[in-house]
Amino acid sequence: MMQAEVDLVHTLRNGRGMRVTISARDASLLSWWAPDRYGRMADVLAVPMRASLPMDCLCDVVSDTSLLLRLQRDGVAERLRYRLDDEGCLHIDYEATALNRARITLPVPAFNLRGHETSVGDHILSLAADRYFPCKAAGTMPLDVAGTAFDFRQPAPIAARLAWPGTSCAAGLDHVFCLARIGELREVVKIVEPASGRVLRFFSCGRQLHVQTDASRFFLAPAALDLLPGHTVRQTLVYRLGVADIDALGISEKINQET
Amino acid sequence: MKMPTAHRIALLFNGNKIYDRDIIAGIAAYLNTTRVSWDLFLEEDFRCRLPGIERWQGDGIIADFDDPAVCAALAHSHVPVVAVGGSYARDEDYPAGIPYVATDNFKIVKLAYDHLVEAGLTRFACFSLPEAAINRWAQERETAFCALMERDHMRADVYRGLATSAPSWDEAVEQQIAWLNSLEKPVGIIAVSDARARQLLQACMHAGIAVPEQVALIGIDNDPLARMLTRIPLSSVIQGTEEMGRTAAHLLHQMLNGMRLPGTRILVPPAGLNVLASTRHQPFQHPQVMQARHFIRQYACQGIKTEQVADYVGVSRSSLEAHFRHELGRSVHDEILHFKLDAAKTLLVREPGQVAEVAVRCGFTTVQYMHAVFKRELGCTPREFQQRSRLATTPGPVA
Repeated sequence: MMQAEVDLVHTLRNGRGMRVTISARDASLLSWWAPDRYGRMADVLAVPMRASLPMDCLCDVVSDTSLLLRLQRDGVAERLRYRLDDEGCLHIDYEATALNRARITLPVPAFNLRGHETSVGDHILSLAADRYFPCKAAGTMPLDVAGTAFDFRQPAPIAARLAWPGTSCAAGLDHVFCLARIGELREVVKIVEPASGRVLRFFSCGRQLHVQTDASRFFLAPAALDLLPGHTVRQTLVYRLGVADIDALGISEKINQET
Repeated sequence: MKMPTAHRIALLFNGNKIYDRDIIAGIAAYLNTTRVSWDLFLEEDFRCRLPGIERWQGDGIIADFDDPAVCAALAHSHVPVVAVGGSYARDEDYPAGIPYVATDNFKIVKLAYDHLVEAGLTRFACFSLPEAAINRWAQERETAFCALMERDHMRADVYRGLATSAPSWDEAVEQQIAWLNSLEKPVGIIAVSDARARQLLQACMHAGIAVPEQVALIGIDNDPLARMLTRIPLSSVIQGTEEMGRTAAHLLHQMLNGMRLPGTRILVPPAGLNVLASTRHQPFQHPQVMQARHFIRQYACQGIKTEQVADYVGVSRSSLEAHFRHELGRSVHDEILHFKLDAAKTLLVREPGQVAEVAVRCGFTTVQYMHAVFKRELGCTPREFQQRSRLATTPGPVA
């Protein structure tokens, strides 16, 4: 990596040896090094998440565990705070104010919990969603997940589930799910990778989640935010990476949401 | 109001086994979430029902096809049947024309094998069952093990042993011990089931073979009974049994709605690992503790101090000390001392020479200090330790 690029990357660290690197150029997540059940580190971000639009980015506060970034693009002022804690939680506090009506898409990292280009088909997905949109066409009504391959309220391996007859999405999931218990920050997704033991939990306040998988990655995309002129929207997302065996020992599930 | 007629469904499983019970639990979970109403017929020993099954006036059957008697009895069933069982390496081993939900035997064995590799083992063996029609799944797991060994250019050491029965119990254990003794240690052993793993663990205890230091052992099924009956908690692969049950129920549900699924085959991968003491060959450690131990292992005998270890890892001394206390219950200094002591013991056994020279080579500042450490940790002087080890004509297994 060139020196100029190194200066534009910030690294957050926690007490369990995790490292998250964030670009101070566009606030994108570049890597997340996390231990597996054997203590071996791997980068679980499959590809660096890149912002699509050109932007000005100012880095306000830097510490070992937290980073505040201010971005300006297309008449939208954004503040993004990343914070990594000792429980393995990466908190993302997002705030945006627009001069004109705008639609903001939040950052979507791509994960592979094995840490390299292997299939995510055997990742085990739990999803707190009781309805889903059968296709992405506008105007469709959400359907009940009960009795379908899209019922992940109990954990299920992704590829084996998509092999259910009539599912017609053998290439992977690409569906929008309606989440239960809207409005509070709660765990909506849990994904376990059996071989490494890594577990990713995703916490959101949102009402919908777009879940996408391909051969070697999965994406959890919260719904886009609609902004009215002069209004400010805020959203908190939390990704928590842990290890199955350690979670089984009953480490607190609580997410410390800083106010 | 007329109630809709519930379908009459037979579940042909052995309710005494954890594998079958979890599949049934998966079927029940599917019924609960879908509000599908089935009248379930389930017997503790379903084989009593087999002879007349073709005349049964029901609507559908989900059955454990690992038993060839079930395959034969249901081959010409007039009601929809969904088969559940182990996966096969060869296509022709699956029952023809029947939708089949399988536990993926290859992925199960691969998960166990990868775990042993990650735990630091470099030699592997498989403890199976005598070949029999009712445990074709065991032979499939052997096949998977052999395929992995061939892929990695290693010799496949498979031992089937005797079937368990009261009269042959002692003989079976003796043969298992003989096989265990014949293996070069340390070795990682995959047992085809938890029941089999438990028997081998018992044989290890009888023979005084240290688990997991000499034999790291992993079973399959995550059976609570096997864990309860062993003194050393047994690691195990967790099969995706509940998902198999849900999938089988979904397939039958679709067939009752008129869908035809003759060639459908769904392989369910394992759900995870329950890693316990029997494979904690290299226990889970904080990455910084692991890095530190790696450094200590290499340089303990060069007289390193805690500060140098902390520098190498790139953390403060106090934070490294805290991790060590938390993970290992001892200080960094104690860890360095343990490595030095081990090195000194090895040298004293291997090279009958000057104790003073051993002290220098192992990083002890003075002979007196090494003497004091030996007295405190082993209750003898270095010289006494050396004499004692020479007296032992056949050295015991290295723990």
